[in-house]
Amino acid sequence: MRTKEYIKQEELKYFLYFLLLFSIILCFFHVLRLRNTRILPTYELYEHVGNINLNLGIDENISIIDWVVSFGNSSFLMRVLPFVLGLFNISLIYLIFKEIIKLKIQRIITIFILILSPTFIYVHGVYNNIFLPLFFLLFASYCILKEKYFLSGIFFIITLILNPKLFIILLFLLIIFYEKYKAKNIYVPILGLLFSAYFFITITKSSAPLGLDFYYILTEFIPDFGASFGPGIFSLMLASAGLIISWKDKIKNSIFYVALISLFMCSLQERTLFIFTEFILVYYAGLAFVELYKTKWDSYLLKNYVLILIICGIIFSSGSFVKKYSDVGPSNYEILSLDWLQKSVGENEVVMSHYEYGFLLNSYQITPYVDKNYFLYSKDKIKIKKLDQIFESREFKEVTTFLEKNNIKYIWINKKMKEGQVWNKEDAGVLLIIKNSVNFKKIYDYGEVEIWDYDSTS
Amino acid sequence: MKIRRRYIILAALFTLYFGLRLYFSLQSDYFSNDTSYFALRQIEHIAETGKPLISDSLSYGGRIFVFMPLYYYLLAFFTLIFPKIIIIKIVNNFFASTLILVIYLISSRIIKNRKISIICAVMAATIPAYINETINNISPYSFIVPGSFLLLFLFMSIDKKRVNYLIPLTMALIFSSSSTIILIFSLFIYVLISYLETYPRKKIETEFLFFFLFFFLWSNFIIFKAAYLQHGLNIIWNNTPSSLINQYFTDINLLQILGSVGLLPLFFGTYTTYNYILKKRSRKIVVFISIFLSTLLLFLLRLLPPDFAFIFMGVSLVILFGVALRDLILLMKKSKFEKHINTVYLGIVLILIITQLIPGFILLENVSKHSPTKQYIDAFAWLKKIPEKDIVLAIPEEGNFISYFGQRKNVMDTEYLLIDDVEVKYNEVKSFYKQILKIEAINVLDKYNAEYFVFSEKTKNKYGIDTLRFVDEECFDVVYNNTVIIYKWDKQECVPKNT
Repeated sequence: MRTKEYIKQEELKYFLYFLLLFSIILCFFHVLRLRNTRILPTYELYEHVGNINLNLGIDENISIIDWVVSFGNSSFLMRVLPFVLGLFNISLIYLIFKEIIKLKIQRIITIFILILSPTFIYVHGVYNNIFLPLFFLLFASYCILKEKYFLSGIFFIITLILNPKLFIILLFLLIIFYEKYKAKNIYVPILGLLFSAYFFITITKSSAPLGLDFYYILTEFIPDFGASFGPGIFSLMLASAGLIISWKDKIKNSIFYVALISLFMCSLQERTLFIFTEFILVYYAGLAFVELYKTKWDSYLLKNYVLILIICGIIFSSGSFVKKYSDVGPSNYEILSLDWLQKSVGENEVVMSHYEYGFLLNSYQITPYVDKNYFLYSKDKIKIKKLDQIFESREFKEVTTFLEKNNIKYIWINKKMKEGQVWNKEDAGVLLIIKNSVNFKKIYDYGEVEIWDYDSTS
Repeated sequence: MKIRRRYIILAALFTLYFGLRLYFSLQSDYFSNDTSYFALRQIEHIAETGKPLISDSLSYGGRIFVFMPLYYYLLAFFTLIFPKIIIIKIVNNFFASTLILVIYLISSRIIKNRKISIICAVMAATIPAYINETINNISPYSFIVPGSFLLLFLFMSIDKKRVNYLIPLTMALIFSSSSTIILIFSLFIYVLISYLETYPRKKIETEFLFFFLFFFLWSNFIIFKAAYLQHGLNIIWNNTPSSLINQYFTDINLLQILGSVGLLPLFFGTYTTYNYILKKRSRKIVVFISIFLSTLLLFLLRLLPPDFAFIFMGVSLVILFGVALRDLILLMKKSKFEKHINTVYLGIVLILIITQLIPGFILLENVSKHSPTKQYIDAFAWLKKIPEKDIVLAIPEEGNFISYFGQRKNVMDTEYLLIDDVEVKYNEVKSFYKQILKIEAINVLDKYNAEYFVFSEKTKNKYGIDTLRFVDEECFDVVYNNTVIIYKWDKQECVPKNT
């Protein structure tokens, strides 16, 4: 009885430690950012800000969470909601892992790696369309584990209402649970996973390359190499080791191997799905760490150093990720310029800039020529190709015809665009034209931003 | 206590080698290459502030440096006590000379024949590539090469006690240069061969390899992360312009490899590799076969600079040569030729003297002869007289001379890491010196805000030119002319094309 009580107390202690660790990391994340600027991080987030600012109704193709946030202090809620939901998500993850991972040390390490993973920090640090559905999805999964199928069904439906794209995760979960509890052989669930992934990739019209370009994966999926989120390099190495270690039980693990590959392929199309790939990765990372810890080493000194280095590497990845997000755009100068531009831009007037800033411009009720959604989901990408061509063009006629045809009145240029994102030199491409033509007038130049006005009549 | 004769011989060899190196090194007041002056700036900055020079306003007109700083810290420590240039030369050569001791240790452990071990130690120390790179330059190789082979020596018979020495040594090597990645490759190849050949392997070897790998990754991620984000996989080549990399490799031929590594080590070393992979078995020898194979592989894949590859290949081949020689002697002992063993030794020593010692000695002399002259350095020192904000254009190999002696900003030097458009810069500097049209040359000067440019013998040799054809009296004034010519662009008289 006493032992049971002690175990319960121990579990509670670790659970509270995890909540504390998560809170500390997220507080650091926000405090570092707020020390630099009060502006919400990432340009992608301004897709939601746009929806919220426009006060669209629930039926106007806006997510429920954006609609709810639009009723309160949106800037505050956009910071606090993911954080609070993160605490609930940690609790659910803890409960789920308690059911799945029987070994206490492995459970602790797995959750520790997950909390420190840049993906998890991103999902609960930056407002997005995944943190709330994740909560319901985790709840649904926990209900299945506790054999409360009706309740789990309700939560699955809520998840789908909040983010319909998560149907693929729902399918995956159901197939995995089916394989674990009901299936007589492994082939049907595996085929089910592969077919689901294929179906998802086919219906998602993303622009991401399907081919596995090593450099692309490195820079788009590993934050240590510049990705916006993903697993840290040390967790990834640990996960790889875990996968190798788990190979001795390959039949038992095969469903997870296939799920990992399928989820990764789906993540190439829809980046936010990577959080689910991360769940599998941290499971194997935890497995590898425990194996390293449990194995009898000839030299304890080396063992301690290796384990410390791995932990330091994991912490270092999350630390540098948090630091990176404290400096990430938009900057104060960019926001000031948009405040100013918002007052000048007329109805039906379009602003030309890089597609990455489309959501940001839109959130100030400024119509961009193109935004990131177009880049990601347009099949032909004609507008992107044309924009690239204009950015590089030095043909006055070509540029002005394009601007007039698309009703573009302003060109919004920031520092990043001039430092490699679009141009590498001061007078590269269209920059040479706008600097030397009377039709273009620099109407704004402050800090890191320039705004050029195009007047065909000059 | 009686000191053994072999220790006396070894101490004498070390003293002789160190003395010779020092003698030739001190013939010149300057270092041979420009990267030494980058190192010297780092050492001076560390000695003054305790921190390496990270944000520099002179190199490329202002940039950030990323590098492994330990070796510079080590040298900076000595400069606090003794006069700067001399002590740096002494310490640098002292470290480089320890190679003779390390190779003796390794050879005597593997070969168990004192005569051959001494021959190997002398051969390793006189590898032309090694002398060239370390005698009159501030080069981390002076520390890395003996350190790496010492690490392999400790690794050969690794146990709990030796781990206590291996850990700090590994850390020191990693924090001195990223080139230590070669050791990780080698140890992986060693593990692979051991696995394939079913050698009884100690668990602690794999444990050490894990430690080495994780420590290397961790430290390199911390220091070179920004560089990786900027250059991607080009970081392997330190962002060196591709035309320069191609030049490194196209200039290499078999004769040069023979000259850099040595005839006897190459021939006998290759034979030992073949012999001990396919026929005989020895775990210890496989360690050195692995380092030879991994260096060769990385060199063939153009992932290692030739100088560094030649040094590592050379030293490992010398050890393998020793093994071949031992096997030959053993074979002779069992045959009718036993009485001719001393003749063989004599023959080997004679061949060594002809193929390695004499060229090595000539190289030692040449290194001091080819060091920069006072007149050459004075030209760069003269740059102190020009306004502080002015930028000076020269070939990349003279950029660090401008920063160190002239204390003025350069357009380009040989520290390419974290530099944008390095390829464009490199080609534009090249085209500047080969230019015929004055207006094009002025445009290059204008682009980089450079008002002065240097024209030296080094420039002539590098680009195969005798004169600067675009230069005329109207636009360019000769402001310094003594071996090296320094021109000033008259901005008032000649304006660039776009203005």
